[in-house]
Amino acid sequence: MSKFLLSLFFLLSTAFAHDHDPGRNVDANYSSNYVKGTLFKRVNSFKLKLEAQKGEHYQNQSHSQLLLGTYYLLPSAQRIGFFFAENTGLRHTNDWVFENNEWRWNDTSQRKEYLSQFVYTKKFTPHTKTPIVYELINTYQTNSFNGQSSFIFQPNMHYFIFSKGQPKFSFRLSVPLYYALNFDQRSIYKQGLYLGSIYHINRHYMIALGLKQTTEKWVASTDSIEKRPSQDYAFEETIGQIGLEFIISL
Amino acid sequence: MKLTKVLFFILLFSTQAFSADGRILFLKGKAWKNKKRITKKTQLHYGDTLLTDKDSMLVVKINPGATIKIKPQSSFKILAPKKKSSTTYNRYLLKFGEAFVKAKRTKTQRYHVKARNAVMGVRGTQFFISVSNLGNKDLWMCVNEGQVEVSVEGNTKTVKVNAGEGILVNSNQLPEVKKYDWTKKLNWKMQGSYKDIKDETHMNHVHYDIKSFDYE
Repeated sequence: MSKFLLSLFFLLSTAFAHDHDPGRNVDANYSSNYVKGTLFKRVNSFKLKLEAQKGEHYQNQSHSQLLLGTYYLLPSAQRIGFFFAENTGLRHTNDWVFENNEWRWNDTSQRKEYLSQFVYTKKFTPHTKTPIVYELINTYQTNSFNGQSSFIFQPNMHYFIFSKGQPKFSFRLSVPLYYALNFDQRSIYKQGLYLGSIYHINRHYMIALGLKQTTEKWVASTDSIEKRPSQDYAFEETIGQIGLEFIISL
Repeated sequence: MKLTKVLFFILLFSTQAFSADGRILFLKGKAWKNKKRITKKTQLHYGDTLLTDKDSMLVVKINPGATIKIKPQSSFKILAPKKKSSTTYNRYLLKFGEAFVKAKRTKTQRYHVKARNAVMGVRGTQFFISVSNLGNKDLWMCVNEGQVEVSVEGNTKTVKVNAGEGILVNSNQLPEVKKYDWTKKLNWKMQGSYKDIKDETHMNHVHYDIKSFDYE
């Protein structure tokens, strides 16, 4: 089943894929993959989180993230969280450069960037008979590399299938919206559609197949403005990602 | 004459010493009292720990006025009562599993059921308690009749739970009182055949708090 999904996803993604060039104002589609491991550890009212992710962003741009932090559990299914993440492979507007007489993206696979996140979440279970959890995740994020701040509004829906009193499978739909707070992007510079199918081995160990589609809106880089001042640079880049995720909750 | 009196008092004291503090009203399947198999004639005493097997059911009457229906795979201890002036505090401990409790508080008799870090004070009522033995700290309680006053260790305040309401205790914080849909499926009957009194509520489903699951 997972093999079929993987093949189908890649076939669809590559069928629409083509090279992009911001200078030519062409939208683009890519596919990539990732692997992610998340460990949660509950200590009294704290839920510690350690997450490691490795994969590709955009077109063959390797990416990694190591995140560490904690949630503090509040009454009524609310949480606040503080997280610190080290990233490589992130791409920003000014990474589109004109060098040696050609346009290209900077290779950022070795460039380290540090992100700080403040998160507030709230879960809702309005249906007493249907095991669905609605969740709102609100994240304020700053990147120390370029001082950019953004706000991420992420509504989620999670549906559980129980077997013998324990969750066996669950499915998650997430629609994150990324707002640029202090940098030269459109207000919503990125939006996503994330699907997760989670197999619950038991209460502590889970394996998930993640499908993500992210659309990012780009504006002109400094080089673009200098070299092609009359060009309209607005274009969108859509990335399809398939990932294998491991979740441990202790 | 003197010998008769002595014999009479010896008999009276020995009867009191060995008189039962409770008895079995219903038994289906295997159950143990202090690790010894229970029969329908087994007498119960303060300090006894009752354990039920998979697919078994035990209903007991404990003096002076409590009736307890103990579900399968549960451990229930009858603690010795404590007396303060003219009031007797009858105390029970649900170590793990599930039990239905029916008792009526009077001026001189009070009933307290302890489970995990919470104490349920009976105020003339019938209620259900479930303590997970699956490694989490969830304690569920819901009330069918009357009112139950709940206190949580480390917390000086109490919360009152009325008929039709329930609570989930999984920390030292006072629980939120809510109406839970699953409580409607509970079988509160304590008398009749096994078919009449068996309760098939799958608490594992209830014990798994879907809101506690974290994905990111």
